Amino acid sequence: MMARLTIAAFALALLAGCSGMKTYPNTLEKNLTVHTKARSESLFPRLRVDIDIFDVVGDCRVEYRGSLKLDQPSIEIGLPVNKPIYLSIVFTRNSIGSRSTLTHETVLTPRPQHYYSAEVSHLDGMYQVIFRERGATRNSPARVLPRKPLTNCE
Amino acid sequence: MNNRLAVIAGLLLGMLSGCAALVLPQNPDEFRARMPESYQERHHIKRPYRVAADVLAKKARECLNVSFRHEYTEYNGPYRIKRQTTVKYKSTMREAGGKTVLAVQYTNIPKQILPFQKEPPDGMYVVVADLYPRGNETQLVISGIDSGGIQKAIKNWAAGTNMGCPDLTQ
Repeated sequence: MMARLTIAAFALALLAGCSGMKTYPNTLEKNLTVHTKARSESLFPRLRVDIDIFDVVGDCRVEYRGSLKLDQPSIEIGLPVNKPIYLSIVFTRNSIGSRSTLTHETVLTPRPQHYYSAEVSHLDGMYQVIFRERGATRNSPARVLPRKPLTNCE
Repeated sequence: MNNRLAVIAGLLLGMLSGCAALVLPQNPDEFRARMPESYQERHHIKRPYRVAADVLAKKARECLNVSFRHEYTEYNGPYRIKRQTTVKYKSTMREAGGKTVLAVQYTNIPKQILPFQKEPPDGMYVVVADLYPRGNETQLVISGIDSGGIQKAIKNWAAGTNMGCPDLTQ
């Protein structure tokens, strides 16, 4: 049993090392709060949730800025304002010898002095991602943002 | 002589019918017709048909038109080969004859089904759900193999009990 766990841990470490993931610098003023509720039903497959952040640099073209792990109940992120940002919530299920990745993407153009929140959940095999925008203060009324795809993509 | 011909004809017919069973259903009607009773679920939804059908259409568009990556290792003797496939789900909804039919198809890229099985262009059918109006309520019949919790999600959406998307990677 212990040997199996060791092999599995080694495999996961290898997979993580090969993923090419870069940490998002997160130095800008915080304007997005991501609330995450995720639960793995078992030790394997293990569920991992990340957010990948990209600049939109043209029709259907993005440039990778970095990623953050969504392993805390909530995390504050600073996104640049007045420019479209492509956000991808990545659900990865790692098992021994296999990995499946499911993503939920949207384009968000943060406005100055506006706050954004994302509710990310993955419970009992069902997932949900809801982005909301609120006004100048954190207590302003929120509106649900429709999912927005990249333009002119096939 | 006649007996021998009859045996050969019988064998050929048997082989042909066996092969026919390997050809995949080409549309929701064929899929439904080939699903045994034990692969059908019936639910009584306490919501008007129009509400249930509209919610199902919205959620199917959002959750059942997805693709994801699956990476795995294939072991063959001393070799370990890394493989990667893209799994693609597509849903279509059709309203006709006083009912709504939601069909979900699944395919792998690169294709993994042999050509003689005639996989439909958008993939093999995995779930077909039929919604019927029943007065001010709705009858939901789901046929298919439970893959990735699609049935559970369809039932939840129609009933309005959970609006999440099924994680089809499981």
